[in-house]
Amino acid sequence: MSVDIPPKDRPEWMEMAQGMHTMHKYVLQLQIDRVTKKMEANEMTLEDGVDYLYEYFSKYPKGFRSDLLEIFKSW
Amino acid sequence: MSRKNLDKGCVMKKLHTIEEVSQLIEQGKLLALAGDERVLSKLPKGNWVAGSTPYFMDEEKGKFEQNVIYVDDLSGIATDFKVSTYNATTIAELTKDRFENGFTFLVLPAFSDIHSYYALHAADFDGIYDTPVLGWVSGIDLNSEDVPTVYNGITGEQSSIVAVAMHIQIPDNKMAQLEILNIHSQDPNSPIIEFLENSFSATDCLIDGELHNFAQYIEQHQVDIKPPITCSYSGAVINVCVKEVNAEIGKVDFYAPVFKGRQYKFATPLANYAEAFAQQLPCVKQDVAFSCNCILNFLYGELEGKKAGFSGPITFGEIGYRLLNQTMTYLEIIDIK
Repeated sequence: MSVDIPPKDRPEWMEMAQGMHTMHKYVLQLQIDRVTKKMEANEMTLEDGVDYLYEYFSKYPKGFRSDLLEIFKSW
Repeated sequence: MSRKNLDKGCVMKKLHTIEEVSQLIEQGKLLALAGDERVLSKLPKGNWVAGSTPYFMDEEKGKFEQNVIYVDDLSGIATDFKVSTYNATTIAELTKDRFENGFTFLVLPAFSDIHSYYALHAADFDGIYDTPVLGWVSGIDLNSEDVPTVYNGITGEQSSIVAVAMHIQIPDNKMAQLEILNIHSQDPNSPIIEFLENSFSATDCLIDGELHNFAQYIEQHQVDIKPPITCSYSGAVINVCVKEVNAEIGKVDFYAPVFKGRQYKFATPLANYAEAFAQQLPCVKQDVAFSCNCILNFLYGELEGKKAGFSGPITFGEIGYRLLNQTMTYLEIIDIK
């Protein structure tokens, strides 16, 4: 784990943007909800959703490490 | 208005007298306060914001007190702060006024336009989830004709119209994390309820896909309206509480808005609120910087005289980024380096 968060080309980011992973932190649940709802409404593409989440996690990599570890296991 | 290099100290919290709180204010402490309007209006100007409520959960039990003030001293965790007031036209600017690393403590006066506007639109504010926005909706003694009020201690302004926010910066090696504890869960046997518009009230709705009048459905099915109706936001169960059911005119009023395009369920009725809090209360690693809980949990759970959840004001709505009902919110400051 040489970098703070997993690389953006990992498929789990797309799965996360589509609401396929359960998040534990409240704010992450709200963020995933926001992305999935915007995608449902065609206000955001899947690529936009991944960009949005990746940028958000990049801000606080250590604060959200437990959720990332559960989804990505290692990177 | 801001001040850098606030003095460091422990985060403390409990009910204080007017004289004790006045001393803290005169010492320059950074305070988030809750109390009855009769005591809050007597405080000197200083680095504080407040909202009215005479209901509290202290270290021992739930209380109704009109002569004391609940104090959250945030001096020890803040490196800078600013206090702002907002109306419905300006509230969306709140997210731009925040510090990059910190949190915002927001108080809205109940039953005001700003309360309604924030409830309906906060989730769409630009960058709302970037740093925590927490707080509560101010209230009143339910047996009085008082008016819910918020206070800006910097200016001495008190209002039942505007919202007051204290934006707080914390050190770079810390992170503010806002969490909720919702003791209410979705009833697996509930029908799926879909509302037709974003509103604090509902007439017709879809129940398992069929058009019904919601008030008449509740009456006909003898639905217990003390538990909230609930919606899962990707795992976060968000409550909406029923305020009034009028089957004659076919209208249900809520304490928070319902939203079109979302699927709601009735919550499972709870036999013992205090026990549910005791069983579900999280073990926090560090001191909780702020917490509050809902007046409806206090009333329906008969929590006066009982310990339930973390200490904090008992409020007329909670803010955890968006408006919440019947939910305990709490803020932790964690080390990230």
